Amino acid sequence: MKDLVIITNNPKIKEKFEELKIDFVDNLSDVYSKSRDLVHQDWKLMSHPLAGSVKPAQNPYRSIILAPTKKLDFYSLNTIENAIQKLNQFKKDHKKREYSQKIKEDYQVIDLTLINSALKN
Amino acid sequence: MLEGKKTAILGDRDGIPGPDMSNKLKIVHYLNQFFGQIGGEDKAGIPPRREDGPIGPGAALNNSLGEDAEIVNTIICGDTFFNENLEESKSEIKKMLKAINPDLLIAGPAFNAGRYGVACGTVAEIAKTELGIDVVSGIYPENPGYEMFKQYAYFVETSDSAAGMRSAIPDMIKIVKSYIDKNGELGSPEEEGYMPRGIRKNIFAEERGAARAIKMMLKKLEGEDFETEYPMPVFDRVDPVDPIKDMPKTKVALVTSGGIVPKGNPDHIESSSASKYGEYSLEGVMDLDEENYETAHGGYDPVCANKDADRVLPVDVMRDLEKEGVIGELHNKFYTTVGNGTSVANAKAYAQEIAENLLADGVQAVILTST
Amino acid sequence: MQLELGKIKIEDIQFAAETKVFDSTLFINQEELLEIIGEDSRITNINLDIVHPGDSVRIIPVKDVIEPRVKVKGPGGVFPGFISSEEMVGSGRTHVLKGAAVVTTGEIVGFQEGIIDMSGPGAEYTPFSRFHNLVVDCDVKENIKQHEHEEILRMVGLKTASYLGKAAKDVEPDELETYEHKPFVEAAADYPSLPKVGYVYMLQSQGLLHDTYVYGVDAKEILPTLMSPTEIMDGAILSGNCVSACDKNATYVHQNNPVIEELYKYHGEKYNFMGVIITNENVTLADKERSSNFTAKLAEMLGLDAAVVSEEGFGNPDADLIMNSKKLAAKGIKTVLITDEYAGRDGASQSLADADPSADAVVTAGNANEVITLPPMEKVIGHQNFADVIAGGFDGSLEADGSISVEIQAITGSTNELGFNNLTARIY
Repeated sequence: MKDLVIITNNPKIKEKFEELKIDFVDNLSDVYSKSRDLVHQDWKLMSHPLAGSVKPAQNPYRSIILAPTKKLDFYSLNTIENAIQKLNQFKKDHKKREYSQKIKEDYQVIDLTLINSALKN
Repeated sequence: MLEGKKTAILGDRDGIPGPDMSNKLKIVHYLNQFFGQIGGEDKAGIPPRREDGPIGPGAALNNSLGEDAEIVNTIICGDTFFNENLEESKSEIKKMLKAINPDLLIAGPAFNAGRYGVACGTVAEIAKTELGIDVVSGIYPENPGYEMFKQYAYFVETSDSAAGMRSAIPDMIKIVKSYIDKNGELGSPEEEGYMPRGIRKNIFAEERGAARAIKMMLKKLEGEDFETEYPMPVFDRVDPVDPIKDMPKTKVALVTSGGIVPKGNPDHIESSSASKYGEYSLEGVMDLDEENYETAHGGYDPVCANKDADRVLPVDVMRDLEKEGVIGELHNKFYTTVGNGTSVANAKAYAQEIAENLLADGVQAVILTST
Repeated sequence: MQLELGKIKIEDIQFAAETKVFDSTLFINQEELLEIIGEDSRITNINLDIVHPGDSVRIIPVKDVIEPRVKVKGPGGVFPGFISSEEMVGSGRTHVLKGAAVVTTGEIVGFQEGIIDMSGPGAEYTPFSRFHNLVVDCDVKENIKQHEHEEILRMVGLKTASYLGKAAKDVEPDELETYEHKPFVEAAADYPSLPKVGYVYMLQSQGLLHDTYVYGVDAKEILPTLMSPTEIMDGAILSGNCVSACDKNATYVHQNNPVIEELYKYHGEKYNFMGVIITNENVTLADKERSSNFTAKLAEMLGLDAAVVSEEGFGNPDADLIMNSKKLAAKGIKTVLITDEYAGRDGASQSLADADPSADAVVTAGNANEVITLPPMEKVIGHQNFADVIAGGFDGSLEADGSISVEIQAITGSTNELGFNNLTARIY
């Protein structure tokens, strides 16, 4: 477990998982590109990068769990690339808007529980 | 869609002269220099121009459309100019379309002319995505313009050369007429006779999804033909070969579809839809320079490749690696063709022959460069 | 296992002094119902509305839709694990108020989804516009956390449906359907010459607001397992899912799973319907691998020749769908998948987040990104302002006149991946 890293832009993840290695980035796109970079450096995805039914780009918060492995994990690469493609597709149609603090927190909670559910297993 | 367009025209009508006071569909036709009756390859460098009324194949189109529609203007641009000055051509043509404000754009038909097909497709993309104008065109299915731009136009299938004009025109007219009859809401490719645009559109089926699933399962079980409702993207996967263990002892060849040829293109490899490939010596060649090499490719801006052909076929770097001992040697011949609009079947046949030659010459590795 | 479903046609719902069914009308004693469902001290207010097909009414945001039922004979009761005990269901006799439904609404999270229009163009996209609905709009205390709020609303819905269902107990059904599921050895022996087919039922199970319950157990905790189709028809599976309105499976569609109904149609004639494998859609890739391995193994143990696989949701579940497809195909099982698409508003993007050549037989429930304009309705139940932040909604989607432009993914049940609807997509 201590080898895991969570790439996230969700402040609630930072608060909740103090004992885990967290790589906190500024925005949604960075979560994905950082994860892809790690996959190329022999990390593999532990959680699915499109977890949750809230559509990509709609939820401004995302966390992805990765673990080190010995060589390039092709399934992870394929999955993260497909996810980035989907994110870009949804971004194109999604008009950026400022969410209220309550909605932001709801989105953070959703992302947090997805990661919680991943770590429990 | 059509209804919306008409309202927009009414609002915009001020200042636009023209006899069109009826509900006639206003059409603009896009042609290259050849079909625009300006000239052949020597006139391919002309910039976009706007003419009144129909020209060339537009006349036949216009006559058959009768009272329903009219080609009010023709936009003509040279294929070379279009491809070498892409951004300028696009913005100029967009300006023209905006000023004319047509209900529909007809482009081509382009047959298997690679640059023309790409130009028709690009103009369709501007019309559809930036101005909301629907587009009807005609093209040979293997013309790269179809694959690249199919979502922006209703392309009818044509033969590979202008000899097919006689059947292309009625096919395109049929689409335009249907477009008028159905108020711009065209039906499926099969109903209307255009090639699939790859666009997913919702419809209500006769049976619910679960019932359709069971029927599909029964057909699959019984080995009958069935049609999936969502064809998965096609993968043409090639298994990677084993890695090269000893590079310093490996003989490496260069092969390209980027069209690099000795100056003057001695074998006349076509700028698109190449019917052949070339084999040329690299004996004593350390660097591809402007005096001796160029590209025959008509599908990309050739300026950089003509200035220094190493940018497409990296002989200079390979010679460095040879000197440094990173590779054993560079094979003393290179193989080249033009990928632009070349059919997959032809490309496979060339590859087969090239591979046999390379094997016979003891080549152990190949670097393939495209554009 | 033999289940009789007694269907009592409901053609109207009215508030009245006594809760009962008479002459195809469901009468509801509002006070009595409110007393039962309002007992939870965390609830501050409940509003009840009756809406009918064709009414100029918009319900937004919808949490769940439930069919009222009652157990008449045999073991167990409705909504096992929640309302009734853990006793197995799927045999005996159950009465159904056919044509009536309970619709729950309430603000759980700020981006809550789900529109049901009872008339107009939107009504064609949601199956729930065809029913006489009792809408339960429930508010809770301010400090209630999201997961607790979901649970309160879920329970209010289930309690309402079970209260209404009781009115059907002594009513003579208009139709009586009988479904049987035998022990596997017997079932296989019944039609030895027919191919064996099964149903792989994928359940949403990613976490908060993405949950499905099997006999009260959160589906993310299960290993894939075998169930009798009659158990599902008798309400063993229910929804705790309130994200992704278009392709979440409301409790109603679990109760009336169309794949199971259609599979029964040719059972014993063209194939032998052996049973249902339920599996989940968890967040981790390890869980996905394990569950799909298990699913393919169970299919093999059942000796299946063919299977239908249904999905719930998009993105992450696409990975589960494709793993199931690959692994079933690898065992030589002929597979048909049911999914929906997110091909973008222009329909030109890749529809799924994963793909594989084994998935050569796919039924699609339509492109959820397609945009629709919903005209204003005379009455809005719930919170119309949600249209602006609803999934698929975008700025300006809620016009001053009350019309809404949204992707159809905001409409409850529009692209249901159990194949509940007729909507599909084609290449144009």
